[in-house]
Amino acid sequence: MEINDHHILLYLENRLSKEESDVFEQQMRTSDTFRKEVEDIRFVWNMSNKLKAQRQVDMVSNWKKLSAKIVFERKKQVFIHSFRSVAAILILPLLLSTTLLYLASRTEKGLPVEQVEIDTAYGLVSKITLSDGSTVWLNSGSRLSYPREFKGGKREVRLNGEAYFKVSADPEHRFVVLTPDEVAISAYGTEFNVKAYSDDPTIEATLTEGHIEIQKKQVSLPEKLNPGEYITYDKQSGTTSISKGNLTTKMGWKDGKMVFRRASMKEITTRLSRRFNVDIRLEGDELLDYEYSATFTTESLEDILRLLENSAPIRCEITYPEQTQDLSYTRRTVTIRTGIKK
Amino acid sequence: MECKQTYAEIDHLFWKIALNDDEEAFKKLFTDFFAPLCVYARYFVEDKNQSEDIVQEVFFGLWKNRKKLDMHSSTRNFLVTSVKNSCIDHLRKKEVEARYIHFQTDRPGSYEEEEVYTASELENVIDTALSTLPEKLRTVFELSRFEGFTYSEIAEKQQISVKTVEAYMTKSLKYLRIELKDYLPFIFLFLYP
Repeated sequence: MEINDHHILLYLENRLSKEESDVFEQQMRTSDTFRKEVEDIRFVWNMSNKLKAQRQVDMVSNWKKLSAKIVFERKKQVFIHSFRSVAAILILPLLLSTTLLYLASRTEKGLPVEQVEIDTAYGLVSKITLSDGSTVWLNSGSRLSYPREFKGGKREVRLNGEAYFKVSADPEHRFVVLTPDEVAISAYGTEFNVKAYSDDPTIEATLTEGHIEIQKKQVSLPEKLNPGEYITYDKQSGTTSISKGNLTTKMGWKDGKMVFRRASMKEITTRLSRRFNVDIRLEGDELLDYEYSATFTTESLEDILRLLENSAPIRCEITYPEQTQDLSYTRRTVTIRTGIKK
Repeated sequence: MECKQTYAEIDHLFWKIALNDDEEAFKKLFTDFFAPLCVYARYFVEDKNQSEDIVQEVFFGLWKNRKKLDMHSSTRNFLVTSVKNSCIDHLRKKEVEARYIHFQTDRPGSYEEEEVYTASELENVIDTALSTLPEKLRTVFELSRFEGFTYSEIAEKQQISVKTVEAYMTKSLKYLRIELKDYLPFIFLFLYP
């Protein structure tokens, strides 16, 4: 069988019979010129295929579809762009305020809490309200230091002197009164009086209502106090004792009263000297054995001394302030001696 | 390929699109390449509509990203490669890679990337070549290859025998081979035994 040009067309159209195809392919393998011719014609054939396919593509409808897509995308972009600008305008103040708040909260944490210290002058009583709502009455010649604001769950105040605490209830945060002798009185919400002058030999805590706990060097003392009782801690021996007391004698000072019930001369003079800012000297040991019961409210020092003279064989003498060599003034001094008033 | 001039012109079109947002240039690029790229895409994706969608997406992406596209090679290569990658992605998504391989091997004559001309280029090349053919051959060839008539239909139309139609076709192909010799792929003959 002879391969002619006609067979090339049949080959391209896949119309060769099995034997023809075998002979045709044999010819392709043996003759480079023939193979080149077939490949070239096939290329032309394919080119015309492509042109036909290309002509069948609907350019108008495809262009319409594409431009619609582009227009939609452009509108979307405009929308996103304007949305972004609005968001940017809104986010700026938000960011600013957040930063400021953050900085503010950080400095608050970092700085130590401001401490307030209150001294009550002689003859006066101060009333202080703490940041948690607790109220404190501070007696004459006493000092209370407390944070302006309680932070970190701690409610801790330092007391040197006498004060009456009315602690607002907060079962999660213990209220602690620290005294100069490492004795701490703590409670969650109650009323009590603490007397802790550094020059007194004892510390006294009187419970009005509720429950308090006494700690010495972080260790709780076992004593349990009932309302109306007071606990006395002896600084020298480190012992404690509980007694039932008269609440008015212990807390009368809060309302400006000085209440004495079978009080020793020593106790009376100490309290008078704190209230009126005077030095009181006792001359004669037998004076110490006298006991008095009295209530003073608005009386002056002179009135009180006269009353004392009238009820016991003593004489009181007031020395008024004098200028010393360094130009300061001495304190008023009261001297009490045994003897009959003239 | 004798397309050096066109390559530069096409790249120029792209720069007009990228720099000036020139919609006319974009339309020109679309007119030049949409149809040929659809034909190219159909060598991978059989469905006509799907292949057209893929090419549309490539043009849309070119317009959308015109400001940030990094043209390493020519715009023409970019388009062809994009279409090819999109087609392969499409096939991968449809999990019909097997068919792609089937296409690659089964199609009579593969479609090389360099063989993608602009629409008018292919049109002009073939028109010019056809114009050198004798009238009779040309009519038969066009009816068969472009109008989709069968040989017997053409024979009837032209009042000639089917044998003559086939002879005309063979003759036309041989003519065209000579006319189109500049476009024919260079085959390394020595590679074959």
